[in-house]
Amino acid sequence: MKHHFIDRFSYEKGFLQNLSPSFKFLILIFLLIIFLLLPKKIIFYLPFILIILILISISKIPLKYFLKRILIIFPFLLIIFLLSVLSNKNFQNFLYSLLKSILSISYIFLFSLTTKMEEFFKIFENKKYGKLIFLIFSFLYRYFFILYDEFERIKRAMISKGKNPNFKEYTILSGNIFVRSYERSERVLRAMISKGWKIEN
Amino acid sequence: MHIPDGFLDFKVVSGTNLFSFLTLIYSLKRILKKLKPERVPLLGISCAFIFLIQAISFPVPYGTSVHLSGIFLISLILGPFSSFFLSFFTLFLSAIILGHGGILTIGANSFNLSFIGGIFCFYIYKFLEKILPKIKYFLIFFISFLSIILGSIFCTFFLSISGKISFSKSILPMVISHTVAGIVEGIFVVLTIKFFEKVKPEILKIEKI
Amino acid sequence: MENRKLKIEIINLRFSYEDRKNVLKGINLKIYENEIVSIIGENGSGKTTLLLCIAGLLKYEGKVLIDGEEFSESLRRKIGFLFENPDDSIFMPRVYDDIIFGPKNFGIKGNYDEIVKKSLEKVNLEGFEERVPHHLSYGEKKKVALASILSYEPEIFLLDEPTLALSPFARKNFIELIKKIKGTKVIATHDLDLANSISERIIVLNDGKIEKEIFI
Repeated sequence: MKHHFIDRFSYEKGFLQNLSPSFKFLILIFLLIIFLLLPKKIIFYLPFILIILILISISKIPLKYFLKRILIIFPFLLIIFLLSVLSNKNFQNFLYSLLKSILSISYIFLFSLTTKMEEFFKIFENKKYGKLIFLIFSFLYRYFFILYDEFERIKRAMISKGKNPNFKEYTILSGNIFVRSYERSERVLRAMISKGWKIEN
Repeated sequence: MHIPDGFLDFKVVSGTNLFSFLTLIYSLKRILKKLKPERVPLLGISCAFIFLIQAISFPVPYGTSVHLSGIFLISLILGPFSSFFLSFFTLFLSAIILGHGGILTIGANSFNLSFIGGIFCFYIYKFLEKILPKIKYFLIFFISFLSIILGSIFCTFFLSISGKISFSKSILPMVISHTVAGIVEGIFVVLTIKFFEKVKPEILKIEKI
Repeated sequence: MENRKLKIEIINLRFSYEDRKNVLKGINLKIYENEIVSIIGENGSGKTTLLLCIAGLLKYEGKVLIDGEEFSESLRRKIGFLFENPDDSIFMPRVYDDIIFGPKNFGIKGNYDEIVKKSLEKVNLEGFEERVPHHLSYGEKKKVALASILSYEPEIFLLDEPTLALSPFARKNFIELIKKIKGTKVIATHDLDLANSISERIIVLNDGKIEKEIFI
């Protein structure tokens, strides 16, 4: 079972896909800092909104899909909104935070949707702690789906025996997944060593 | 709670990021100092596990479902600095890929979750375990619960000194709303530790870094 | 065979996974009570998917009728699914817990200790109650997995690659165990020897469709 939510469009031939990951990331950080410092006047935000709409289209990402993804932050926005109302804070205050938030996450998504994550983490490979970071990322990327599938299969077996899993079963399930992960890591180590891997960080 | 970008002001962002990056570098130093080969795939796969735990909604009696953190649990197994590093890493990826949390707010989020849950609570637990060994499981439950509550308190704190909310007015609702998640986290960690004791006790004997 | 009761009726069954379309392209099949049917085919032909649909574990298009009824949660009790990977089906801290899992959920009354004991006897694993399933050998795990479905006495057994990766001796043993099971048996396998030796009918699945039916 595959889960195509990560770098879904990174294989398309669009404008952003062709830029180097480290360049894109630096620009992203730069932009996020700008958004952080942007004054509370709507005029400053408009160009960035325009730019992102342009970038989305020349990177061949369907707008509807993009907007759907952005919705993920809404639960948090709601919580903060309620708290700010409770705190009698100025609604304008919240509004500009909301705007900064939506702009930030839009550019973040633009980055992740158009960048192959393996390439991104390869940037670190030559830095001081980079090899470890790159390895950890590779493991995470590969094994997350495997663990998720295993989780779903055990859950399915539980269902086939008449139990719709509740909290207790989920705990047992996740305990199982960790134990298997632990043993799997031993097998992975053997495979790595058999292919000549040495710990030379 | 993962704070998204846009809701913390410059001073909070700078301060928390400074703290968290220093902690991260220190954690990496500690991890690399004694890094044995077996540990590398274990760290990687544990990272996938944390990601998985945080991605799944755990059903809870009386309706809804909660999201777990698993950070204190991992610190009990792999150690505080490993837990900090892995959860920092997970936060970063969650922000970039899922939009869960933010990138500039990673300092604050990793303080609330990774530092409080992985490092601070670990040492509190270790201290209490020594002086009250007989109530070990209760301590595990309580510290797990505490990690969630403390995390929510600091979250409120950071949001309030950024001028978004009032601390005094928000603290009670925040803490109350995290109580269920805290209790669930506590039960989860205790049951999982007991599961390991039964099925694979050597997991609990892994060197803790 | 026609004077036997119709146990499972599959009508125009179609199924696609999110990342693989048209795994089942319209299956029509009738399986009779206490019949032993093997489903053979290449990897990817849809064998496991077919079994999962019969067991009501996937949302399919078309109809699957068990004893003339469409699937509902109450029918689960009648079906015992033996998963290809025993690790998928055994997940509790003790063998005892795994075996009693089904009966507990289905509200089966009776002495639990007796139920577990009998199930273990049926698979020749007497005395394994307190063992940790995770620590067992592959063959033992397969047997515990089988015991964990025998314990609630289903009427239909869906076995997905039951002899996969078993050593010759263990395989022979396991086949004997399968033969002893009372009920309707549908076995997905590419162990052609198994299919030949045990079935009354072999269904050949190819690319999501039934290509051939062989009567033994």
